[in-house]
Amino acid sequence: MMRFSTLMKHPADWMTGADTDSAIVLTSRIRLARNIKGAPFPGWARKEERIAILPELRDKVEMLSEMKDAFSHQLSDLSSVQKQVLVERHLISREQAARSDGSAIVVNRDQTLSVMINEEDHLRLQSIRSGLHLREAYQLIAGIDKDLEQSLPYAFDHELGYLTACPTNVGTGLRASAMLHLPGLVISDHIGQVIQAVGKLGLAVRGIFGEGTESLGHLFQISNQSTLGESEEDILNRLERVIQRVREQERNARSKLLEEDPQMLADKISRAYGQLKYAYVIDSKEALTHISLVRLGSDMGCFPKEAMKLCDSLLMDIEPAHLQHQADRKLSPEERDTMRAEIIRSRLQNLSSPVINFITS
Amino acid sequence: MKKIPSADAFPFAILNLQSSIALAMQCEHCDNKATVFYTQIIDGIGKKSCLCESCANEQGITDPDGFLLGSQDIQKKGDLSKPKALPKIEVSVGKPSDRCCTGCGFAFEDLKKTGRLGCSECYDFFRDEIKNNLGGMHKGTSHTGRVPAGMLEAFKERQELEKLEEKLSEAISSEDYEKAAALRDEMSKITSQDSTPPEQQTKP
Repeated sequence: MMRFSTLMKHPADWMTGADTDSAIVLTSRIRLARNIKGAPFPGWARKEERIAILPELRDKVEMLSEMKDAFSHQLSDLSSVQKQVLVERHLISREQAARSDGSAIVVNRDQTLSVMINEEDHLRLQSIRSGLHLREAYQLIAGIDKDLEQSLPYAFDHELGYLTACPTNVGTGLRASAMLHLPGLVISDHIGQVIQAVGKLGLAVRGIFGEGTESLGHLFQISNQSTLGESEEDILNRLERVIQRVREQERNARSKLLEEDPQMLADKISRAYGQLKYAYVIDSKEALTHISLVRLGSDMGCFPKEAMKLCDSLLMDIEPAHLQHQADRKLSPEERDTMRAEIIRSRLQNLSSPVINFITS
Repeated sequence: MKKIPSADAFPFAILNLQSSIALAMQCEHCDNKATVFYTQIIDGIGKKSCLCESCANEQGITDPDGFLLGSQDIQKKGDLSKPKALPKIEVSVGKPSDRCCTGCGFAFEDLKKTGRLGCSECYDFFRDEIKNNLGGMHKGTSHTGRVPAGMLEAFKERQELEKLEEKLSEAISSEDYEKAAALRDEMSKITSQDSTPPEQQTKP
């Protein structure tokens, strides 16, 4: 079985931007909610009932060929920092991190697939891919789902489809989402319009860190809301089309900024680099803002290509639980700010100053 | 700043339950089966009662106006001239408001608090209430996506039967009894093919 330390040492490809085109769409994620017929949903079940159903579910998940030598642990066996680290890596949900007895997480070795057992639903199958690849992520999950339905009696209704603890997930039980980096739209002040337009199409936009247009690190998640009355294919098609359009808008916003105010852009990117490189104390809000701009600079050719991967790893490694896991002890917010600055400085050590070649005199 | 609602937030409105399922309860006044359940709220204090239909009619409960004037319980006679507040009466025929899922004991009221249901059987038990509240949340009201392999046939069958049922009621309302008979035959053919509905494969 895979140990926690192994999982930490080898972050998944999608966490560090493996796809050649992950400059704007960082990751694609698919989640399916499934439940067992007749058994109370985990939130309503008594503790003994959750504990009783867990071994069978966990066995079936561990037996999947994709789950060979998987990371498989009960939530009660993980420390609160370890749980938080898994949340920061998007491998478990915040809701599951709050659980302990009768809940488990199984993650495959390359961390592209995770199965939460007894979260809000009996099973939450999740797959994440680098870049805009919703369909590939769905293929993997659909295969797992087909395997599991052979041996587990799913709760399914002829009218309402797959039955879930929350009626917002009923039908396909499918939630598809993508994480987007939209600094161009934020800087040019067009993000509000985009969020509104996407909302009108029945999709949800929210900040990854923080809420609404205030999202830190200019990172946003777009996901489907409706799960009933549309096939999986329709849901994915609609979401993909919208994400492609938002990606185009972001490209346009970046081109326009380059054209209209290159000095402002060069100033922002270079200052962000300077702040990160020479800071000794930095809170996560400031760090996320600057990392976002260096990431933007990397896409605009101010830094070598590797800078983008460097930024993506940093986004994860400077989060509170990651810092405490590395320090191997609980850290006060002040200690975290110091350690965060230290990590950023060391990672940026070999990154040379930005080359600004888009200003023509 | 515009806050974006979580996809998992469940906007449930206050419900007015209308479905009628009679539970085996006795009338408070006689030994007949109670089919009328009512709650009277006076000055914020609720009182629940179960009555059979004839006792309910006698007390004028099915006619809220008559009940108001006739009942001794609501206000003392001397106060009738200047009532403090009009009592609010909710009459729901044939159903107590605290109905619980037979599968897991979940009461529909709990959904408003937690946003989550109790078990998969709740969907059967509270089907109408749930369907009434799905509007606006989803693109449609019935599943069009993937179906578990073991249930595909049963799923198609149910959908076919529902289509035929619709046609049947159309035929009856247009008094085309010949067509109705043919449709009925077709439906019984489907249902007799497998009298036991195929269940999804259970534990191996």
